[in-house]
Amino acid sequence: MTAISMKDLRKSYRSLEVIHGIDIDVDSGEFVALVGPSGCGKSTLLRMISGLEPISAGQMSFDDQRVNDLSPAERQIAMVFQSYALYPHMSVRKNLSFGLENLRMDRAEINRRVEAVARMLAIDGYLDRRPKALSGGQRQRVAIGRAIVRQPRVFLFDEPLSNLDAKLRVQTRSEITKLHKQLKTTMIYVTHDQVEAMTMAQKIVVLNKGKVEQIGRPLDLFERPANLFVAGFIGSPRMNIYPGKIISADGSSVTVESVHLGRFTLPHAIAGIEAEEDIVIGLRPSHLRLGAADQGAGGGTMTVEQVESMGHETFVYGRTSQSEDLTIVHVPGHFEAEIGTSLAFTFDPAFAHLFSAASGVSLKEARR
Amino acid sequence: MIAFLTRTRQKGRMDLTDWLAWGWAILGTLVVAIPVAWAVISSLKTEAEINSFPPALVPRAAQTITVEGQAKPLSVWVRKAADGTEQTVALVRRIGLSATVLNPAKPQETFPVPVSELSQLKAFHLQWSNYTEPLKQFNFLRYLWNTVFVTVVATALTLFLNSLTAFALSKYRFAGRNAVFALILSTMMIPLSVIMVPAFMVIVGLNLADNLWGVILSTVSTPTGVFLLRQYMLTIPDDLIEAARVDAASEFRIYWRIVLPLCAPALAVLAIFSVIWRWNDFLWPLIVLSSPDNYTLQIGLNALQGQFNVQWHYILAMTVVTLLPVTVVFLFLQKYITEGVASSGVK
Repeated sequence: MTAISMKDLRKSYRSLEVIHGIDIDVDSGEFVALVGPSGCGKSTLLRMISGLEPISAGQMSFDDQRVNDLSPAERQIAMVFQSYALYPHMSVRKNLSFGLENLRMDRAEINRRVEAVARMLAIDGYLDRRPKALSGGQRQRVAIGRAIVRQPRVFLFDEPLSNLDAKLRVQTRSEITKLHKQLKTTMIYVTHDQVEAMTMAQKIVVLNKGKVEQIGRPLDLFERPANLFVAGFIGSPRMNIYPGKIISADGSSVTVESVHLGRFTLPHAIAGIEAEEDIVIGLRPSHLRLGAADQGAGGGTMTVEQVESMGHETFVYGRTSQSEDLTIVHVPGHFEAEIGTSLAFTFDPAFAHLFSAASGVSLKEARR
Repeated sequence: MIAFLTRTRQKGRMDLTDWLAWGWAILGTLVVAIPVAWAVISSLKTEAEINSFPPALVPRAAQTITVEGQAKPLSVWVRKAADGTEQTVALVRRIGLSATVLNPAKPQETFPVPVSELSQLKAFHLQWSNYTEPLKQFNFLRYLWNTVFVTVVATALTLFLNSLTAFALSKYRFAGRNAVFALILSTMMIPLSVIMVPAFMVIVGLNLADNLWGVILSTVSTPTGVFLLRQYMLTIPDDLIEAARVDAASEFRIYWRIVLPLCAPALAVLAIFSVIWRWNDFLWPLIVLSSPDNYTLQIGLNALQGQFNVQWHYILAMTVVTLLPVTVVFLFLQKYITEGVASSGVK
């Protein structure tokens, strides 16, 4: 049970700074996901937490103890690597016990722990096999087992599911969540897959270009993205983005106009905006529906370019006149539409997200 | 095996590439095998046979016969007279083109015949004394022990030191890493003859002249070995080393428990090279070692070769003996060579 606190963490390679001052607090026993596109610095940050990568500036502490200059072993962390990094010349049993042997632990205790972890992860049937003779899912379990057996203060996962097939990934996802509930150890999980982050983590840190974009509970990020980047990154398929303009704003409503969506009125106030201000409107595909707009509601028409039907749900991709980005509409159930036909869509203005066109920052709804 | 050997590019048909491959393989085998086979065969011949022309493929020796009234055994010849009759005779003496022979059945009568009518009778004979005599005459066991000592110790040290160097050069990032590597590689291009004198002076300065350690210590660090192992270690994923670091392993333990076992194929290759190099090493031991008690086999063999008289029968026999250990080492470790080559390309 370890709380981690990062204060203004920076990492630079010579003169090139890649992590630009990160502040994150991880509560004891919390499951935190670091997400972001490739190259955003999430893996580097994880390696800085692990102690494999030196910290250039700032402070990292575990339970108020400064750990900047401690080795991974001294920090007592365990890490699951993307490649699993199992020792290929050792049996599963040796892989699990290697870390304990390094701590000069009693042989009987090592055996006891290895057996216990093997049973827990259902890998006790092939303790004497080499990693080469295991399937991808089994290797994954051994890698997790190697981390658990040491009973570390913090678990670090570096995209551990990216080498598994889709079915196994879903299964392992729920197993890791179960494991976290059971062990109650602090876990930090790096992934580029926002579905993994949304389903597993208690807290998500969205990173972009070495900076924190937003930290919050999964649903918070989905419902109240702090900026356009988070809005576009969280949620699948992505949020629809349209340029627009504030027409008028008062204490109880905001009226907005867009060439793609027409004129509509949000039923709540937004602080600190002025008429004629350029904005960006974000709408989740699930908040759009096909059909003509009611009075006061927004809506537009699009030319269908692609229809993806999954059977239980359908995504219709279309283009509004003069727009560069496709509009995505979520339709429950199976839906068929001819490519090239024109469809009208509408939405409830209450669900529209507004962002400043200049800064991309969310225009938060004023507390009612 | 049969299926492997008879496999062709297209089923059931010998393609041009098959002919070329077979031709090349056979040619290569002959080029390598004929000198070795010739040395082995010749090592079992008598001294006279080695020097006779034309050479015979099978080791033979002249047949001799003990005849009453003659002090020494006489060699047996066949006389083919001008009228076509053949007769077995024993040669008593030969002067110029005329020889004095006798009929073994009537040992008292000797008669002259022209040499051209005679041809010697030879029989299959293995001259094992070529092998046993040097063992008695020379301090062969001493030389063998010295060579084994130099080879084993030098190879062990070579593997240890070169793998440590390679580990540092492949898995640590430090300023000047590439410069150090380039420096090590560049020494590969300097032949021994260039640095022989200064190297010997260093050995003398270290008081290691005429000492086996003088031969060992100056050869243990080989750029070839560092290069070979470094290139192999580059293929070991850094993740493994970091995983070991997370597993609280010390840096030496990472080297000993993770890197070394994974380098086994490359280590085996280097071990084979090192054994062959040290076993066959001639020039450097010749310079360093001066007293016969410290001679290695190769230097001892050289002692069989005088300025005017070369004892080929002994040299060849001892050469075969010195070939054996290297051959055995190669036979047992060759699968590692192929493994090392094959596994580097496959994930």
